[in-house]
Amino acid sequence: MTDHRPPERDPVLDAAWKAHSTELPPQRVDAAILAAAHREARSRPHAASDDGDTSARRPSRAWWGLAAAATIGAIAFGVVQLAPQPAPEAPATVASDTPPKVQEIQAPPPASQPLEERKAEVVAAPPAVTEQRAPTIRAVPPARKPAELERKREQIASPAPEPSAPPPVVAQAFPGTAQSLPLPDAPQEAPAASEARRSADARSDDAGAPRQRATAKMAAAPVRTEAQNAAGVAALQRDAERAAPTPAAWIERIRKLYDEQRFVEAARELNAFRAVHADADARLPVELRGWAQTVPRP
Amino acid sequence: MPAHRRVFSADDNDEALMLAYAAGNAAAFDALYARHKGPVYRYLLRQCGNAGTAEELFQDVWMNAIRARATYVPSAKFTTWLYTLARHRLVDYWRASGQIGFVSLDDEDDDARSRVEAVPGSRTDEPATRAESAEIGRRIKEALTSLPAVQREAFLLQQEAGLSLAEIAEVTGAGEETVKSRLRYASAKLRAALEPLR
Repeated sequence: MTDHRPPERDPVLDAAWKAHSTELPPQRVDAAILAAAHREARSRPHAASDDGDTSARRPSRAWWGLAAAATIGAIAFGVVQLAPQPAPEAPATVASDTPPKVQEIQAPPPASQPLEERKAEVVAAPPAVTEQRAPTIRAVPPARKPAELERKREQIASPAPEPSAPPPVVAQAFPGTAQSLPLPDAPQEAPAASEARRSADARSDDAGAPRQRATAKMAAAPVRTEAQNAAGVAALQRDAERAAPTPAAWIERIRKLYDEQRFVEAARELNAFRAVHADADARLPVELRGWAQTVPRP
Repeated sequence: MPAHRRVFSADDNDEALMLAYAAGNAAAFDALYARHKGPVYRYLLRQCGNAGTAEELFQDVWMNAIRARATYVPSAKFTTWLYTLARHRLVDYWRASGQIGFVSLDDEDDDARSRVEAVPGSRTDEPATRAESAEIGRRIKEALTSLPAVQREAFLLQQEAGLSLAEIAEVTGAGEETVKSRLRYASAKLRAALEPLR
C-alpha cells in the first residue's frame, strides 16, 4: 500500500509527537487481553491435519454409529411387537354372499373390546363361526319368494318326488317350519335320516343365497342316491308332521286363501293338509268341501 | 510445524499474524498485540481524554478483534481494520456519553481559518533537542486536545497508526481531500502551539 506523505507533514512536529506520546496500557490490561486471546485460541477446534494425535480419538468414536443403529433397530422391533395386530378379514365368499345376519356374526368384535379379548376371539374364530352359523341360518327365515318359483327351484334341485310324497308341498306351504325345527339327537337318528337331514339343511341353506345354493346343489347332485332321496323325503315328512299346524289353523289358512280367490295356493294348502291328515276333506267345513272335491290329489 | 505452534518474528506482516491467530496460533496474537497496543491505546487516550475510559475502550477493541478473528479477511491492511474497530467503539462511547464527537470542518469560522493560514511552515533545521523538552510535550498535548475532533482524529491516525491519507479516509469514511485538509489544519495549529518554543 502506498504511503505517500501529505505535504503538510512536519518532521519536527512528528519527532516532537513521538517523543512525548509514549503512554502504554497498564500491564493488567495487557494480561487480561492476552489471557482472553489465548483462551479463545485454545477453545478453537483444531483441524485433524494440524496435530497427529487424532488417531487416539478415532477408535473411541468408531462404534458409535453401530451402537446407534443397533439401538434404533431394537426400538423398532419392540414397537412392532407392541403394535396391535389387525384382525383377520372374513373370507370374501362369506362376506359377499351370506345374509346380513350371518355377516353380523362373522364381523370382527368392536374396537372398544380389550385387545386380549379380541385376540382370543380371533384365534377361536374359525370353529366358532362354523358352529354358530348353522343354527343361525336355520333360524333366519328365508327370503320371501313367489311360491311358483320356489317350487320350480325344488323340482330342478332334486328328483321329482313321488306322487304320494307330499313333503315338498308341505315345505313350500310352511317355508320356515322345517328349518326352525330343532335338530334331533344323533343317537336317535338312523344314518340315512341323518344324511337326509344334512341334505335338507343344505337345501334350506340355499334359500337366501342363489349362488351358494346352486353351488351346493351342483356338488350334491352327483352323489345323491335314490335311497337318500327317499330318506330325505321321509325326514321332511316327519318334520312336516311335527311342525304342521293344528287342523283348525290349516283349515283357517285354506279358508282365507279361498276367500281371497287364491285358488292355486288354496289347493296346494289342501293337498298339504291331505298329506298330513288322511281325513282332511272330512275336517273341512261344509262350504269348502264342494271345492275340495274339485281339487285333484297329488 | 503446525500453524498454531509456529513462532513468529518481526518480519511477519500483520495480516499473516492475524490469519495465524485465526487458525489457532496464540503466539501470533502476542506479536500482533505487542506491535499495536501502544498506538491504539494512545489513539483512544487522546480522543477520550481519560485514562480509565481509554483502558476500557482499549480492552473492548481488542476483545472485538479476538472475537472477529474468524471472519477476518485480509482485503486491506490489518491496521486499517483494527483502527476501524477502535473508531467504532469510540463513536459508540461518545454517543452513549452524550458528547459531540466530531465537528465538521465547515463549522470553523473564517478567523480560525485565517489563523491557520498565518502559521509559518515547518523549519526542518530546528534542533531536535528542543522538541524533546517537557514543555514541548505539554504544549503539544494541550494543542491537540484543543483541536476539533475530526482534525485530532486525522492527526492521531497519521501519527500513531501510521496510516496514509487513503487509509485515514477509509477508516473515517471521509474523502482524501477532506482528510488532507484536516491534517493541514491540525498540523498548523500544533506548530503554532510550539512556535514560542522554537
